[in-house]
Amino acid sequence: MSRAALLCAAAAWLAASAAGDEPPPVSAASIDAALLEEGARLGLEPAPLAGPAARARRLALDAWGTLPDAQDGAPRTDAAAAVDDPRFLPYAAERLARAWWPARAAETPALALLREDFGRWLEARLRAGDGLDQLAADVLGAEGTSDEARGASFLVAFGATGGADAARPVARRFLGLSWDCARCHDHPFGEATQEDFHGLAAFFARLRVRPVPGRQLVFKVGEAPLGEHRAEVAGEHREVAPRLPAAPALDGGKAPTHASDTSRRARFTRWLTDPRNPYFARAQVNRVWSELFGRGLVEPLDELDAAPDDARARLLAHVAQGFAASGFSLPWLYRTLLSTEAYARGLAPDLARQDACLAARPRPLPPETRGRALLALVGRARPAPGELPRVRAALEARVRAWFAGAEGLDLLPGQALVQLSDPGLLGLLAQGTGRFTGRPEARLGALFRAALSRSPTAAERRVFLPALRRDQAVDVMWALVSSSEFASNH
Amino acid sequence: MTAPCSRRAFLRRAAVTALGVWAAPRWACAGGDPQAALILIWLRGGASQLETFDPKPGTPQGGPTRAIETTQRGLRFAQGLPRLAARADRLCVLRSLRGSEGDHDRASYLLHTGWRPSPALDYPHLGALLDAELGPEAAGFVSLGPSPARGGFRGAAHAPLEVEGERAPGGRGAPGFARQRELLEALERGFAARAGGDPQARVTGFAQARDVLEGPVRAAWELEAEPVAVRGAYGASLLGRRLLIARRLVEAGVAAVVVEAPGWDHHEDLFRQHAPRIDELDRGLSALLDDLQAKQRLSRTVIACLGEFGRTPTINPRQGRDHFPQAFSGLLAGGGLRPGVVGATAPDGSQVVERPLRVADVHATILERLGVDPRGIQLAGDRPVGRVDEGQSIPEVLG
Repeated sequence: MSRAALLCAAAAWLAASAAGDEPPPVSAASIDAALLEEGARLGLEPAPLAGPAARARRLALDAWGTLPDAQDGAPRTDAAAAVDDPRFLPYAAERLARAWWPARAAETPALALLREDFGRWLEARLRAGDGLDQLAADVLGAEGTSDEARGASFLVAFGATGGADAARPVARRFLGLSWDCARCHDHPFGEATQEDFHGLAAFFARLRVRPVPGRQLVFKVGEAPLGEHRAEVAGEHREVAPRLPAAPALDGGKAPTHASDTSRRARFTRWLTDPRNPYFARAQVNRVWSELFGRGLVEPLDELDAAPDDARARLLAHVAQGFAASGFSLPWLYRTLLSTEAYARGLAPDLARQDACLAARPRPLPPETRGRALLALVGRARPAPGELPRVRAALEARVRAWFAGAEGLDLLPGQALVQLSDPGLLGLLAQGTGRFTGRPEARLGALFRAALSRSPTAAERRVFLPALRRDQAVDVMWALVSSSEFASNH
Repeated sequence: MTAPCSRRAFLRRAAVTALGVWAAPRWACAGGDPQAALILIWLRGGASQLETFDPKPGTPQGGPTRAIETTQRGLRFAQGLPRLAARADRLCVLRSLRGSEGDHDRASYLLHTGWRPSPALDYPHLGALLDAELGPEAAGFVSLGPSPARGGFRGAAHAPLEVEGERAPGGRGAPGFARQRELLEALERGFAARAGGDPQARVTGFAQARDVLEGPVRAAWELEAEPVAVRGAYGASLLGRRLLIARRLVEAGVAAVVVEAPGWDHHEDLFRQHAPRIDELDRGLSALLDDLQAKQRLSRTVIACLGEFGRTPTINPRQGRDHFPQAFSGLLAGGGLRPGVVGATAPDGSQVVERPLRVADVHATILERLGVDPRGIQLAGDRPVGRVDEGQSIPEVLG
């Protein structure tokens, strides 16, 4: 959706509000209706709903980040109950932290510690019932020491080296805008200009991040009263004034001024989290949609301003409007999306139906989730009685390391090497096979149901049963956890 | 060019020789030169150019670091590098590198791919590019430590084999692999039929890992096979051991090895904390140069030693130096490159004053020296993309 179209949508919203018109209510049913209508226009038939066991696996992995408990009895497919479960908020916070502050291979240990603390802070705030608007405001407008204003660690990581370095992650993660190239030149295809990028950077020009003397990994984040953003724009090195990505008068009718505002970040966050802002709610909804359906309603996730004005973009605007009306409530968003029929549909191999959300698309599990699924499969989801916390922590760290960097469905050589050769993993799998006893046929069925939430096909039984009969249960377990079916949610 | 010899064929041939890796050098495939290879030493975190290859003694920016003479006339290194100073006549010192990225992640991506991070394309690591372009003669790409980039749009088949630990990767033996593969393929076939996708692509990595576990590459980690004197020369540090593994990997036919040398990001107490890292680098890199030369491999192996950026000439109040991509140094050696110094920085180190270089220029030079035309294109899907981001080979070092 172009910037003009986004602004038109925001203007329409404003006009409707002024006229007292209620926007159409947003619900699972309204989302399904929009998807089915678009599917019919494209001549696509929706896939049948997945079976209860497959849906329970999907829901458990998406809502709690682990496989369903074997002790759960009948498959649990109630989306609202899954979101009310105590396991939901910690996992939602983990995913939010990963989205706002993704871990990178070249991360220093100090940054990793700050990122982990940031995740714990997000979880505490979500538990307190805060909406994403409040969280974003506290992250980007943080003032104080990072051990007290813990959302400040984001700015410690991304804003300490200047406004331009802060502008990039802010645009991408909070606004769904990829403006990296506009740092040096106007976007070659999109609408972002150097003025846009550096205008955004100017909101962070007065940000000051300083280590607190004598305290390791504690930083003071504040705002200097003066200081301007300087950059080379169109060949000229000069001061750049703050400039919002979209300029509707959302902030009391006044555009931010150049020198008089002492807390530019506060002004920016007021604009960011205004329900009429055309970017923030859409960016957050699009991200969660992408997690649950394997693809954003608008792609790429961080080029909201370049997407066509089509049915999908309109559906995104519709859900975003409901999200803003809910108080930017993450539980509301998950509950609504997880309750749709689109979410419950079965697999189909054709991409057209997957793209239209009329069939399920396999989605790679995040490495941490995959690790937890492995621990659940081998019966180590929770600490064993008497297991020392440091032993447990070491196990979890090791499992995380096995799957670190596993981002797609293809088995990369490095991961395959680890999975083929790490004695710790092979030992854990051997230990896990002890949970599955009985005659080979029954044992194979139990292994498949635990790992993949389905029974083996006839073709699979022909290959796997002889292995079990030859007492090669570890190989069977290995193949299951190495498969793309185990490594994905579907 | 040597005659074609598939990676698998080479590994198999090597595996059946009684003497393992030592009896299966690269030229076992065909008469001629050994496989061209790259060893990229990544000074992760950003080494200080003022404490290594571009000291500024006697200036406020130089700090307490003194300079020492080297075997190249007029070239001085920082005091912690006596061994490299004695070997400077084999080094190309690049003193005028300039980057645009001051963030670790972004600068690391730039260093390893030659491209700035882009939301539009995931670029391949230089090692992945070499692995792909050198064709079936190259036996892969190994990263000793985490890699900030992987196969990118060249695909998972060229992704690095990332090995974090220092132990030889273990294995269950060929019978175990055959069983595992049969089971895995059965699952992938069934899943692809229900959900789409290419089942073979999903197990490519398995085959590559199995090659490593079954072939001579695995023996590269068995450092006890090396004479004590050789191990001693590299030093007991993580970097020293990784450099020795890298040499053995190159001998086993690996096209590109990244050696991660962690621990250079010193915003505080830099002069004390950099010292042990510098000593490890001095010892390990010197040993690598000597070792490759003694084995007559130096002329076919390009060694590059770089951080993702340099450090500020200004010493901060915590006696540290912060990130500084505007002017930093790196080394190239081997590969028949001509030793010398390229570029210069201002007396206060604040800027490049002569022959500015970009990381892409270094990539172009490496590619050219290893027989891959840096002006060629590669395909990202159906989109043609350059091999380097407008980089120009550095004629001063190409000789």
